[in-house]
Amino acid sequence: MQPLIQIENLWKIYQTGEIELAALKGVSLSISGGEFVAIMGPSGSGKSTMMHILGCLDRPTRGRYLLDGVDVGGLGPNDRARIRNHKIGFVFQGFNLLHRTTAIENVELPILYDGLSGRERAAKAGEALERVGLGDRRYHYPNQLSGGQQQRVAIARALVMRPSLILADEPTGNLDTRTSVEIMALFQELNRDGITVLVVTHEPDIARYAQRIINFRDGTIRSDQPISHHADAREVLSREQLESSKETEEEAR
Amino acid sequence: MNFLMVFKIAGRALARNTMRSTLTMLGIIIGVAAVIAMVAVGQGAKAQVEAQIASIGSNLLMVFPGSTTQGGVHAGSGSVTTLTQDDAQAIQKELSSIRMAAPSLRTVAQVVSANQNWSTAVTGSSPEYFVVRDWSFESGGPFTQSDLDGAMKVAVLGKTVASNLFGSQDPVAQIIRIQNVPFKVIGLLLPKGQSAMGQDQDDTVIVPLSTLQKRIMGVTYIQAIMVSANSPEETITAEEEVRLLLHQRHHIPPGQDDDFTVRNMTDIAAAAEASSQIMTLLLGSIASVSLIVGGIGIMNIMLVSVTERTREIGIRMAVGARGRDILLQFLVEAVVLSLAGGVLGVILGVASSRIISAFVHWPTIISPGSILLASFFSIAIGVFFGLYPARRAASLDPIEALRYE
Ligand SMILES: Nc1ncnc2c1ncn2[C@@H]1O[C@H](COP(=O)(O)OP(=O)(O)O)[C@@H](O)[C@H]1O
Ligand SMILES: [Mg+2]
Repeated sequence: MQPLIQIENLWKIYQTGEIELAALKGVSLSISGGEFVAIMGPSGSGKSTMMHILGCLDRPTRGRYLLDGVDVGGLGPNDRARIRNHKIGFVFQGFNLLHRTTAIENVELPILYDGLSGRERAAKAGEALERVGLGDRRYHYPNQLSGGQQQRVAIARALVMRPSLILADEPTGNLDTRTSVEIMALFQELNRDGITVLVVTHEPDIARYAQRIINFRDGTIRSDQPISHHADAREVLSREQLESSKETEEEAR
Repeated sequence: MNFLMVFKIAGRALARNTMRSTLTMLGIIIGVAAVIAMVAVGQGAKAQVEAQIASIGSNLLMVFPGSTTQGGVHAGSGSVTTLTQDDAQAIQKELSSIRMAAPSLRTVAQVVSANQNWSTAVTGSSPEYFVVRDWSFESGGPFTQSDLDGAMKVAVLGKTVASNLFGSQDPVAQIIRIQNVPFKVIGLLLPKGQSAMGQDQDDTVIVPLSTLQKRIMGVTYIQAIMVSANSPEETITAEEEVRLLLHQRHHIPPGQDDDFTVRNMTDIAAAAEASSQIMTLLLGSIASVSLIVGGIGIMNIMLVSVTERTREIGIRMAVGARGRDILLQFLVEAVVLSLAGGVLGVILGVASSRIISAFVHWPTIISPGSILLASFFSIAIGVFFGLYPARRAASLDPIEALRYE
């Protein structure tokens, strides 16, 4: 089967004045449709740089990137905008929601650029918000939502166009542990529905929910291993719930 | 992307920054209002000049004694005494291009009624005067040829004189004294208002020429002949014919300067009209400058806005907005600003024209053309000055925009 993502000898060199900095040094990688991959590595190792290239937000200095068999390097800005719109959902560490814009309007944004009519747009966006458990927060503004809820809105926005790929760059970096697990549960659910998910994280606790862990160091891939027994975030959550309710029972006694 | 949606997004973005949007619009509001008000003042002045020209009389030539200087300026009017009533009669009788000719002699005199007195211009002329000047009566009527022949002491009053001497009472059949000579009032003229030179045309008394010459001034000459040509087309021919006739009558040898001057009032009218047209243009273009300044204000604010919203642009691009979606968004914002400014400017312009009319008593005419033009220009200015900031926004690199702090 043809892989969803195939990159060959990818380089990214940043030029800052006189200084050249290679953020990616010949990375090659292949990811099949339906995988759930965690990307780990120390800060500055090139994880975000690669995610941006995979998300068609940035272009490599050298190397080839095939998405679904299409060489993205040969496409113009409008075609890449279309790929971002249709095939890819991006989730950022800092949420990147439009402020002073309601949750549902944030989720509608990608549909807007696909040219759908108002009613369909609202219906689809509402569905996506339901899916991330925020059906009752449609008309809340980002500053009226918690960090975890804001990230859910961002995820709803990422999945509303039914993309084949979701890229999340440290989506739990600004969240507490429990909320992080909830977000991972959401990704696992989406993955179960067939969406390929790539999550960047530097927390091993988060990475264990993936099926495969790729380690970055200094612009290259250090290791690339499947996890045979990955954790189920839903299970972890319900177990925790059970424990905490026991604790309150004991306290009550 | 749906066009209505683009407008909605633009409106919302502008509403978020009400103060700034209002101040930006103010530039356009003032510009458009200035164009409309200034053009209204100019058009009003033009209409007034036209009305005044019409009030002088139609197809009018004026003959003055004395020669002209090189520049065509009339020299020493009134000081030369070469024109007579016979000249006026000859012009009327002998020339085919002429409908009518009326002599004119003026003096300033004290006019007294039973209990009031008033200093005014007293004009001596023939019955033709009222025809040449297109002047109708409010009550009574003109004097006749036999009044002229008999040097009768009858007078026709202008509205200003009548109201100063008799108030709202009808002056006809009353007696007035002009320099102690008693005159019977036989007519009251309809008001004509101000002349092109700003004189009150109704501040006048008209008496038979012979009466003024013999009983008040003690002279035999006249100061001017008013000549009315048959039609506007014939004024040029008439001017030439009058010149030839007076040349003969005054026995002026060839090569010597004429002792009279013929002036075509239509030319003067055309010049006055042209100058008021120029004034309209001038006022309009000065006002247009403020419209352009308003446009620069929009450009400035749009550039600031693009910079401030770089991250928003990045987010929109990340979820699939193309360059042209971003371009359209910012362009429409600029156009909404300028169009709203334009609409408010039209309202303010119309209102200030009314205020100018009401309080400064300048006539103003609001032309639909200037409203259309100002609205069109405000949209054009939005597009023109919005395009550069919008293109700047559209050309941003998605990842650079997202990284922007
Ligand atoms: N726009 C940029 N200009 C110059 N250098 C950059 C830029 N973005 C990232 N880098 C550099 O590239 C390297 C990799 O960065 P990044 O991909 O963000 O790492 P990570 O996400 O793994 O922490 C870092 O050394 C960083 O300083
Ligand atoms: Mg990073």
